[in-house]
Amino acid sequence: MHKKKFPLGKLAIYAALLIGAAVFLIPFLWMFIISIKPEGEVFGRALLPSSPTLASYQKLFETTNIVPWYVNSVEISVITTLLATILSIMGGYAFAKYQFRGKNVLFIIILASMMVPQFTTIIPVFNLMNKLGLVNSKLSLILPFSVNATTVFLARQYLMGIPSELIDQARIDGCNELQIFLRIIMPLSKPLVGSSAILIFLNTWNQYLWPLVMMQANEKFMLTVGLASLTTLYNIEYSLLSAGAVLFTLPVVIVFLLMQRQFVSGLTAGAVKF
Amino acid sequence: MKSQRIAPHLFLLPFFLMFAVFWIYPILYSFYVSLTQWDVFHAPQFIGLKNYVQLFSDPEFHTAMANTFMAAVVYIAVMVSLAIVLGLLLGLAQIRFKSFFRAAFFLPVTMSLVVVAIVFGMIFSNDFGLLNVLLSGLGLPTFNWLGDPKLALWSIVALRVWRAAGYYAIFILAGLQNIPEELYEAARLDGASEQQIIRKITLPLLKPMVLYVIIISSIWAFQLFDEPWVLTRGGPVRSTLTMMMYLYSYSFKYYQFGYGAAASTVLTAIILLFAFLNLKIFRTSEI
Repeated sequence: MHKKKFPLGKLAIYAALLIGAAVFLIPFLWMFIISIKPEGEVFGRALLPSSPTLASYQKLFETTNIVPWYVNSVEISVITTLLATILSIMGGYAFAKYQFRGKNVLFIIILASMMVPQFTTIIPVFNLMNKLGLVNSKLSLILPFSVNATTVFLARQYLMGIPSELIDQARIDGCNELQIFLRIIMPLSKPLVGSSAILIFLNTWNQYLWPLVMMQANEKFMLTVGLASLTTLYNIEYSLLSAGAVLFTLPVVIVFLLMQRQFVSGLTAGAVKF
Repeated sequence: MKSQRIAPHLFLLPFFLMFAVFWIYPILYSFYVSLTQWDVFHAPQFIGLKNYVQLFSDPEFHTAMANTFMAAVVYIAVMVSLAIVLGLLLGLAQIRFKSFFRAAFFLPVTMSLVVVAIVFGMIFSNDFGLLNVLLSGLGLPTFNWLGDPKLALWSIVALRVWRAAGYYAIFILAGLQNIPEELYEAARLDGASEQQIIRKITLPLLKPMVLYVIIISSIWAFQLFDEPWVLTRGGPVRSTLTMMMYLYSYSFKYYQFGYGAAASTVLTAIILLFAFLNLKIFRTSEI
C-alpha cells in the first residue's frame, strides 16, 4: 500500500476517524448509561445518572426469564457454530480441491440461495418441524442454522489458496484423503476456522425471526426474542431493557475484541478474490 | 484413483443433505405453496396465480414495496459511500491507533439488530432520546424521529447505516491492501499526483470489492424486518411497513401461508433482479 504524503492533512484524517469512532461507540455508551440510571431518571434531561445503580440488573434477574433465555442462546449458538463450521469447511474443501460432476452448477445454486430471503424457507421449515414435533425444540433452530452458504463460500475461497502440490505430495507419501484433510488442511485453516466460527456464532446469537417463529413458550425464547418481548409490555422499563441489552452484547464484544485480527483476515479473504 | 473420486462426495454429503432439506426443498415448496390457498385448517388448494393477482392489487402491498425499495436503495447508497470513505481514511495514509479505529468501526455489527433497535429507540425517543436532548441542549429544534411518518423510515435507515458502514469499511480496507504496491510506485515514477493516483488506480481497482459489498449488503437491505418490527410495528400510518413485515403478518398472524409465500417469491425476485442489475452495470461501466 502506498503510504506517502496524502493531499489531506494528517490532522483532518485523524479528526474524521475520531468523529467516526465516536459515532460508532456512543450508542454502546448510551445503552450502558441508561442501564445504570434509576428508572425514574430515564425521562429526565440529565445525561448522567445522579446516583448510578445496578437495580435494573437485579430486577432483570428477579422478574424475567433472562437466565433460561441466556442459556438457550448460548446452547443453540455454540452447537450451531460447531456443526456449521465443520460442515462448511468439509463442503468448501470439496469445492476447492476436487473435481466432480455438477460441481459448478451446485456451487452456483448454493451462492444463489444466499439471495433468498429467510422468509421463503421459514414457512416450509416451520411446517416440517411441526410435523416432526420439533417446534419449541432447540433442534428446530440448530439444524437450519447449521447450513450456511456464506461460510461454504468463504471456505472454498480460502482453501483454494492452499497449494495443491502439498496435497499431491501427501498422496505420494501414502496419506489417504481423510488423513490429508485432518493433518494438512485443518492445521492450515486456523484463520478460516476462526472467522467462520465467529461469523456463524454472531449470526446465530443475533437471530430474531427464526426463534420468534419456532420457539413459542416464554422460557424457550432466545435472548433476542426475550428482550424484544420486554418492549411490548404496557409500560416499557428502559433501564431494565438496557440492562438486558448490555448483558446480551457484552460477551459478543469481548469475544470479538479477543479474536478480531483473525476474524477480519479470514472474513475478507473470500471477498478479495470475488 | 478411486478414493479420490469418492472423497469429494463424502466431504460434501453432510452439507448437501442439510442444504437440500433446509434450502432446496423449502424454496421449491414455498413456490408451490404460493400457487395455493392454504390456512392451518385445510390442505393446500391449487388456485394458480390468484395470490399474485391479489397481491399486486393490494394498496398495502404497494406501500410495503415502495417503503422497502426506498429504504434499501438509500441505505445502500449512503452506507457504501460512507464505507468507502472510512476504508480510504484507514488505508491510504499511515496512521497510528489503526487497530483501535478498526475495532471501533467494526463493533456495531456485533450488536444484534434487536438490541440496535432497542438502543436507537432510546436515541430517537421523542421524550428522553439522546439526539433530542443534545439538540435542545444546543438550542436547535427537536424532532419526533420515529413518530413522524415523514421521518420514521429514514431514522430506521440511519440506524442500519450506523450498524453496517464500519463493517463494510473493513472490506474496502482489505481491497485497498490487495492493490499491488508496484502499481503506485510506477505511477509515481511517471509523475502522477496523489489525486490522480486515487482516481486512476485506487478507485478502479476497488471496483470488484465495492460490487461485492453492494451485492452482499443488498441481500439484507431488502429484508428489512427486525428494527421496524421492534421500533414502530410498521407505523406511523404504515410509513415503515416493509415487505418482510407484510408477509410475516399474512403468514403468521392471519395464517394465509399461500399468500405469504407469494409475497416472499416477489421479494426473492426483486433481490435477484437487483443483484443482476448491479453485476451488469458494474461489468460494463468504467469509473
